[in-house]
Amino acid sequence: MSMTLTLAELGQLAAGLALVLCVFAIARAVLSVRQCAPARLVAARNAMFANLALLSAGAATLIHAFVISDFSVAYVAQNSNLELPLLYRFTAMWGAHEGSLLLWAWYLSLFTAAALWLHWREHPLSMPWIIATLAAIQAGFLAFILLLSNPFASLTPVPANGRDLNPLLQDPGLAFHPPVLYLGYVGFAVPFAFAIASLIRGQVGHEWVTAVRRWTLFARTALTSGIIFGGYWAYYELGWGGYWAWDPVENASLMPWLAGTALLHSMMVQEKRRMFRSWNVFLVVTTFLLTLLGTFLVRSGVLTSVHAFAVDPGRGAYMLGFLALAMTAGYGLIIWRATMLESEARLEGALSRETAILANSVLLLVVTAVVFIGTLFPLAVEVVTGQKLSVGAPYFNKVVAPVMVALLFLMGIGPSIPWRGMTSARFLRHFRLPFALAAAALAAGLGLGIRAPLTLLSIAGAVFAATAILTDMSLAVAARRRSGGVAWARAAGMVLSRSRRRFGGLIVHLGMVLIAVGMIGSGLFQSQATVEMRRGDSVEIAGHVITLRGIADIDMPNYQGRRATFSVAGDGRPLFELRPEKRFYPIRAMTTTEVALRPQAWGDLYAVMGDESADGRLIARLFWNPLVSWIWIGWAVVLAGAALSLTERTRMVGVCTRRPAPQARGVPAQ
Amino acid sequence: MTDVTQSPRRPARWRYALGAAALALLGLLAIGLTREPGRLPSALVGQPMPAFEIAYLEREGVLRSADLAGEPLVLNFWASWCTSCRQEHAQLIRLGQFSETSGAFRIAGINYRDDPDRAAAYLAREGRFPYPSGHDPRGRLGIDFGVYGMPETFFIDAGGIVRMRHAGPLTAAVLAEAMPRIGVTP
Amino acid sequence: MRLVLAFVLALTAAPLWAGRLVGEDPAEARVRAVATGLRCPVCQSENILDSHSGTAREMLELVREQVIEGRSDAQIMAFFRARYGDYVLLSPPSTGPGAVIWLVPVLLVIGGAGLALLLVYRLRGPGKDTPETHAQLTEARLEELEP
Repeated sequence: MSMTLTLAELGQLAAGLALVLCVFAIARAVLSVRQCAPARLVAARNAMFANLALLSAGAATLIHAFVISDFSVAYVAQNSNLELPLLYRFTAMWGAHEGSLLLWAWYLSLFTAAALWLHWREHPLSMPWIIATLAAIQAGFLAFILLLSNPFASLTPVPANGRDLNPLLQDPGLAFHPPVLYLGYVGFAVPFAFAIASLIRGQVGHEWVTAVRRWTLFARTALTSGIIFGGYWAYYELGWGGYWAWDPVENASLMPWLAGTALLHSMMVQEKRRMFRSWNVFLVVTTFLLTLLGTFLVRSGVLTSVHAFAVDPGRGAYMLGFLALAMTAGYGLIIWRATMLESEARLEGALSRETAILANSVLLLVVTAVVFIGTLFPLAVEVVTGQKLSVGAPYFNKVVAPVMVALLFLMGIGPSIPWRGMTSARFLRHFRLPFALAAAALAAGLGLGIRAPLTLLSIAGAVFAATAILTDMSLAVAARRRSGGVAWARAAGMVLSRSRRRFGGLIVHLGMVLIAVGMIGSGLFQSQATVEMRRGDSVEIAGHVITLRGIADIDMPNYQGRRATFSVAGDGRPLFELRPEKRFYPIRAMTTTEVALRPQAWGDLYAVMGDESADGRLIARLFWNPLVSWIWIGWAVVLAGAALSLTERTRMVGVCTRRPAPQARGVPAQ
Repeated sequence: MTDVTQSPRRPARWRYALGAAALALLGLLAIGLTREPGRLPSALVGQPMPAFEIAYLEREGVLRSADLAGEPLVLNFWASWCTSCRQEHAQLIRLGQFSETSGAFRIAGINYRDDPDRAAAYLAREGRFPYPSGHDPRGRLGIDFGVYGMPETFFIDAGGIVRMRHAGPLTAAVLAEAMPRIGVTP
Repeated sequence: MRLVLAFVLALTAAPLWAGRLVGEDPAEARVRAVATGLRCPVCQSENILDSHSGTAREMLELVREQVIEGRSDAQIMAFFRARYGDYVLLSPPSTGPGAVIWLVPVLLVIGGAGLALLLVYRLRGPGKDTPETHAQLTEARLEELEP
């Protein structure tokens, strides 16, 4: 044993110290309430700030170990290689179980510090419990990291080379999918902590909702982005022409997204109308628990999944214990405070924003429950009857799609109905144009020979929602133009800057409609062909003539493979080439396919290389995926809308308005 | 489970529902942890063994299920590319010798999705089975038997009914459980 | 005349096509439809059409053979179900324990609708807002209506 510490050992030390500080912060925060000693709370807060510094240092040492290829660190040896490009040496930090948990903990320390920084003065009475909750979550994760999945563990003898990063992760799409997804997962910890604090204090009014609205929006947006990144990666890397397979691991990320989306909307009702109190605490606790459950399902190996992650029963047991603890705290507090959770206000009209949001909540929770039960059902059947069965994509598509179509209609209706209600006559008048265009779309679909009711309804729903949203936007701009007597562009600018939250919401909805259109197009109107081709053979798909020009070897430092070249012609003119590949990564003995993908205005051409026969014939899978790009464009629109909404200055209401908001506003990394 | 499902007069029943659901989920996950997710029960157990005729590995002729009928049978799927097959190799050789000396049952191997040369090299290295193996290069027979991983061993009784399937390396404990099921005392 | 036209067309198209125009086998669409409902037993969450594993490819080949032989979708599904059990069906069968999962969404939608209606019914009534909240509400509402 040498007397000097290696950097990795320093990292481990930092993580250990961070754990001690978390326990210290919990004790101080609780004591500060017991003894009415605010000074102790300051110590607790500073401990959490120090926590961020320590974990940043810890994460930095791990990244450093990757960059310099320090194979004396076991995690680096298992997930890196001397041939690995520099970018992937960075991203390999979260390429496997141990490192991704460290990233989780680092995010949590960052968000904790940010939440304490931003809300310190606004919520003095809740603060001890917020700190205690966040520190407890952090302590749970840090103990797990240090005891059961230590990324700093050393390896002797030091190997000459590493075992390489999983080839599937050697891709920019997947490299950035986990960190963005985790941003969303961890982001929900802050609203959870605020809700827990309110429940403990018995102050379950609207203060906590107002405070965490933007945290929720931020987390939900990050989760959306993470899921979209994952879908995009699956689309161009896995080579089956789709982006969502209803795999348990995908479902694990969808569930908190659905519950978080319900929460985001339902919170508005509590904020504006003082209703849905228990509904909201239930949703916020559930969303956070679903993020933990997602981590558990992915990391414990309790469900079989195509995403083969490290499986370790000890880790599973720990995570289950942690989940049980969080569940007991969250649901236990709700049950304990049940009598305090009654609504203050009443519902005044059936056709109101409140009921629309209620319907939206219920539908989103129905989908969450369907996904939840569908994901866990095989496990339940196995436990009860010992039989094995599968609940896969055909089931989920059939069951979830109708609810999603209903949500599409609601997405158009919701933002246009005022709070408290409107008469049905006004309702019909307001939605004249959307209904008319939806009916026209329905007729057009029928005219084009589409007969499937769900397909027709989904098209009508998309048209309805898009029209309703655009009508809303133009009405607002027109009103501003009239009242201010300004030009259209200026009126639009004024509306955008003055009602950011409302317009941000509308823009997010518009983006979701675009995503829905992309899903309808690619999910219901995809065409594909599996063909056996020789050099010079052509295939026609969706008006494109695709000709196999040749197949060649590729030889790269960390992989070898074959590359086919197809030329694509449309209307008799040559357009471009498609070059799908098959790669073999010798270090991990893994074969991957590289899709050739060409986005066109109305869809993507997508080619995958299959097997080659000895006489030079190639099996190829060719796809025409209509409107797929709309999903990615829709995501950008969602992001823009959320960003606009996040930049609105908070108008503090109720008990929290004693002090003006501090200067540094906004949510980190937005 | 919402604001108004309870009022001061009515006990809040949703509380019990919420608590029970949470407990049920935790219980399910806890039991789930003790299970091996990769295990797949065989649909063949209790069913007649699929009939087959496949070429022998390393020798002329055809391995026929009909020729094996009438006696208890142990059918082992193996491959040279399967690392855990090596763990059960000695056990299989002992089982083959036991079959020869006792004559109480038959045993056969199926070389699954393998290259004959590699399979031969594997046998030369690990030791030859005292019984023949059929060759299933494309895994068709494996699909007939519902094989999903290597190695897998099927235990068939004298009446031709599959009584047990074991996925994973054979051990003395597995044999002690399986052999009596097909009427063989180990 | 038509022959000449066809000849000219073929000539101009020739450099583009060079080889023959191969089409997908007409049976292939059905093969695909069946294959997307069958789970690859060695890769756990993929169907046999999308999986690259050897077993999945062989199963796909079996599907293809059986489609060409004229077997019905149900017969092909039953063929694999007899070998791998219910596990191989990505859409659970409507008999046995799998039937429960088809009831779940129906019950959830009915339950959800019931819950929503109950809430609307119970929450209905004149507002009992405090003057303070009412002031904010009016302000909030103005913002909503005015934008």
